[in-house]
Amino acid sequence: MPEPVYLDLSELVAAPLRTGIQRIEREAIRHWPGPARLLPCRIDAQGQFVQLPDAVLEVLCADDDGSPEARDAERQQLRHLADKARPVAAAQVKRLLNLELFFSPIRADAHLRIAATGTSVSWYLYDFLPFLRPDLFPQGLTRTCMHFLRGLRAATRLAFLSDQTRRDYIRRVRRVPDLEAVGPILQPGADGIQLERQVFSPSRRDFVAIGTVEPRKNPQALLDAFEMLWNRGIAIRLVVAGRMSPDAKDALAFFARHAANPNLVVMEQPADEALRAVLRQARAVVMPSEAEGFGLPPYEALYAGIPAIASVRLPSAALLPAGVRLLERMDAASIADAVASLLDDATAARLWDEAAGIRLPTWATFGRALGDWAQEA
Amino acid sequence: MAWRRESPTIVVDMRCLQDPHYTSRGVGRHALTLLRHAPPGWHLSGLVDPALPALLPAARAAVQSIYINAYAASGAARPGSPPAGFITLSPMTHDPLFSARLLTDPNLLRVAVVYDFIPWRHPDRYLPGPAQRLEYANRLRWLARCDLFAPISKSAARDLMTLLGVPERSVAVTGCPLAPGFENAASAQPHQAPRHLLVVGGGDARKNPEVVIRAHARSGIMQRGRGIPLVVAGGYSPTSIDQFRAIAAAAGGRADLIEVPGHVPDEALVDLYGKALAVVSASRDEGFSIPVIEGMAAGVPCLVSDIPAHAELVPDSECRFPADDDAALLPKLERLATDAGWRTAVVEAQATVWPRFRAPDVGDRFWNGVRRRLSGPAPAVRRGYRPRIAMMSPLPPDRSGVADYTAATCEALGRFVELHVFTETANPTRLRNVASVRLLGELPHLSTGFDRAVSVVGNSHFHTRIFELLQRHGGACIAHDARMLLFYRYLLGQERALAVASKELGRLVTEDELNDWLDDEGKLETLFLSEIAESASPTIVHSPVTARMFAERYGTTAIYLPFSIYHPWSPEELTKDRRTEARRRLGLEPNEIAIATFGFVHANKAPEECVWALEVLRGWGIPATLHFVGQSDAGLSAPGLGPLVEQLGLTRYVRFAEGYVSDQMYRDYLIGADLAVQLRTYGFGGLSGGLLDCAAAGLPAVTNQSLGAAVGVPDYIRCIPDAISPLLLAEALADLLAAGMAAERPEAERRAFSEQRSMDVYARHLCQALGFEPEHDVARPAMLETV
Repeated sequence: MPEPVYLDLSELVAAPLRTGIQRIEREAIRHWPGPARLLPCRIDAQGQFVQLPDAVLEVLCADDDGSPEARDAERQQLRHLADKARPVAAAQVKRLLNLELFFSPIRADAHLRIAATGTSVSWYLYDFLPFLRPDLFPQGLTRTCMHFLRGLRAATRLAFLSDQTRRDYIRRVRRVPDLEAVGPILQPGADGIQLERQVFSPSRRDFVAIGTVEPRKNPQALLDAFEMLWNRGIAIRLVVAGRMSPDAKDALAFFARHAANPNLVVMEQPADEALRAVLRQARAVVMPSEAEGFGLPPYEALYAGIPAIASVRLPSAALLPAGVRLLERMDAASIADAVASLLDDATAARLWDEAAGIRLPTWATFGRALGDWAQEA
Repeated sequence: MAWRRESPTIVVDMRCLQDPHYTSRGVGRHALTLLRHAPPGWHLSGLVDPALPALLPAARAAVQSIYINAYAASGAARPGSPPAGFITLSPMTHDPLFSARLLTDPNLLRVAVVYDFIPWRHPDRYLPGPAQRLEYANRLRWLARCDLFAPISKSAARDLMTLLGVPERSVAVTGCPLAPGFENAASAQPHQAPRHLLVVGGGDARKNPEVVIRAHARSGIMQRGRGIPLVVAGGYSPTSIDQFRAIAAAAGGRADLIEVPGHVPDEALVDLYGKALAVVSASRDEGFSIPVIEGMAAGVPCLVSDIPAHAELVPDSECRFPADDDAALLPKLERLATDAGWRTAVVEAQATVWPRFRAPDVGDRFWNGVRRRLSGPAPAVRRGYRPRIAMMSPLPPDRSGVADYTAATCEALGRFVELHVFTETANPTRLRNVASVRLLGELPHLSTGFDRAVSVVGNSHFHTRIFELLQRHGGACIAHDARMLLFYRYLLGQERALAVASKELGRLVTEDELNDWLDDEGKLETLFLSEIAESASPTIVHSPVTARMFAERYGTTAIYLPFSIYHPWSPEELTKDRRTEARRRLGLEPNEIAIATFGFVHANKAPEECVWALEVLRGWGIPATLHFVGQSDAGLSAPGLGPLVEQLGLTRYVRFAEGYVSDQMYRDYLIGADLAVQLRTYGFGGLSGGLLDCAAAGLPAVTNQSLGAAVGVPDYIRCIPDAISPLLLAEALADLLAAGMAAERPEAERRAFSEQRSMDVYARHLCQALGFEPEHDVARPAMLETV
């Protein structure tokens, strides 16, 4: 029997949110290929590894209907199961996998200690934005993240979400420019929305923006772009779907100002089915953000055959050879121009044709690749 | 050279039009009339005191601009377009020191409006104590500095000439203006049968209505039948009214005939005049008597006490009576009531008097006097004059970077000007090129013996008095700090801090917010510089960011002079040998990469980020050490620092200074360190003397963008984003190392920067900011003289 792989779920179990990182964790669990067992664990307040009941994995893979009740129930179940955790000796942990970004010095120390005992420690890295683009985050946040970089020295094996992340690691985090074979890139699945393949129709008139509305994701440029179009008499509909950050004061004020505007629909944290319904009317997905660890929304839209408008600087842009209008500048005028061009049916149809030819990996593919890589240790 | 100008600018001291004690009384009315009748095309600038209530809107409308201190209104602040004259509208009622810079300026025509010298004649009543008498004498001395006097009556003019020895040619008697509503009241109103005698009095016992009450009470004609009422208008207390009635009763009259309507507005007063048999003014002393000309304009005969101001208006002695002689007044009252012919003759004779006091005529007499004097000869400046500058600042040995900066400024500036320094520093260090160092006081602000007054203001207790004087008297100001939060909160008090913050932000700032800002200056929303912006002319700042914020937030221009090198280095001090010696003194290993960070250790200088950057650098295999070169009570000002150093296992590689860092150690680090870090967690254009020192010494360093922009740094100082990332900090330091800058300092760039930022250049720019061109070796000072 191969050595089990311990999966450090400290953050997910303590605070189960629906963040991008936690989604990847859930997909990794859901599609774990075996043969080695995946054992959930976390690090307690004393820095000790404790093994969680296997039922944790089932809870995390359960279907999500998006309702507050279901999510609250999940939280309760995880808390209950976490209480049943039992200590596990470091010597028992031969293979440790971490898919989380964390701030805890205790956790960094725990990984460093266990790596020192010879345990194979595998980390999957998303991006280094908090360290390399601190301007996108509140003052002082980067300092609090530094224990993650310290703990990263424990990792004996690395995999990366994108080529950009791998390059940043080599050149700027490790600062070893000629480092080779540092680890694979494991592309995320593009089928998370589970939307059937879409086809173009001139009746599709909506543009959909998916993702958290927060200042660093540049929502204002998108909203200003649509306001420009509306002011030109173009009655085109924008659907904004995602979590609303209280920091996005300008965007929230915009929504309040346009509360009676039939061309603006705001859906706060929609359930998957609601999102699918919106995308079935979409002409394109728009992502105004320029600073992302990956840039999942255009990637997922394209999987369903829906074109996207996005920044050329998104890490995911490198994986999107066609079907996407990639913009050099994500200002209001550029976005408005791109949207306006897609209102022309012939232009839109051409982009939809391109999108139809694109094939992207699924979460199952990702899960298998990640599992295989984790078991290579 | 002459004072004559087509459109002269005249500064007017308008405090009497702010002070509610005067705005609605004779002083305020007279002052406002004068302003409203200024010659067309003349530019009037109002001087107001921000500590007094707001200026009357009508007064604000009468001037084109407003200044809040005398310096700002003077030629010192506006050398290109200095004012031609200064008018003090009420010189004896407000602190003369406030306008002293204008009153002592021989380049100005100084004009005083003179009302009366009643306190001088009745000291027991108006100047009861020595303090009041001294104060009055002091004001008289300041009044005497004026060139032209505009008394409201000939009698006031005579007093002026007697008291101050003012020559007649310097006097222009104006009279007082009749309010337009009283003009031609006689013809404008239908004739009404006389019903009462009228006294327009007031709270002051000098008005003496009692003598009229007694005469009225003793008059059988007045008391007979229904009687003729005596109306005593003015703000009297119930006690006074009771006393009036008691006096009437005691004199055998009827108390019910005494009517005291209280303060009467102008329209009602016109009506009272219209129904009056006579107006009686029994005042014991006046500078002028407005009720008399009002009565005359209403066509009512006026009987007046025999005092000089009344005699000017009522030349007929038959209509005058000794002020306290009711027996003399009584027959005149009865004759007016019974002798219609005499009454008519009196009215006709008096009808020729009041038209002289129409507001435009009073205004013309005043402004013609000013115009005549302005067209006379003016003072001239002797060629080769060397400006005299007063600079108010802390000096070494006070432990203040600002004190050091001033010392360096003085040495350079003193080559161009005659420089006098005023300070509270005990036993100040001897300064080169400075004419004198004196104890700080008001003198440099008040005297035009100093062409410019320059206050040096910073965010510490060394500047409290300097700031107060600047607020009161104005002057140029070198504002060292980009925000004055701590100064306001801890030195001026929480209430003041909250008030200023609320004013700057246009909303109510709470105590909690203020405490939040104190905990983390990164959250600060405002600069606390508005009062400096209002008072100073000009404000000089050392950060372009601050200058921009001045314009954006306060709508005023601050002059930006680059923060300059006040600890210069010669190439000989920076040789490799000297570096080796310095490193040895500091105990640095040859292969150690010593990173220094200068200044008091505080959380707002991101010390934790520095420690983390060290951790990253060591993780990259760079044998770096971190040295906090500044007083450290890290436990208080950066509480997480010590535990973090320990947690990261960096105790051996982080060095804190013990106590105060000596100059020698500070300089050794500037020479001996390989790299430096100077960070700020807040923006607002704050400066760092430490960063400038690094640049001056050619020490390669890393700073954050806003601090780098504020100081203006050369290429060997690298900037990272203001949201500080230890990884980016480590990366920038490693890049400097990789570029070989630590091993071989960029001497050529350092020299170029040092020349560009020398104190000599700074002093030249400072001269220009103060309004004159710097010239070396000009003759010793020559004071202004009149030709």
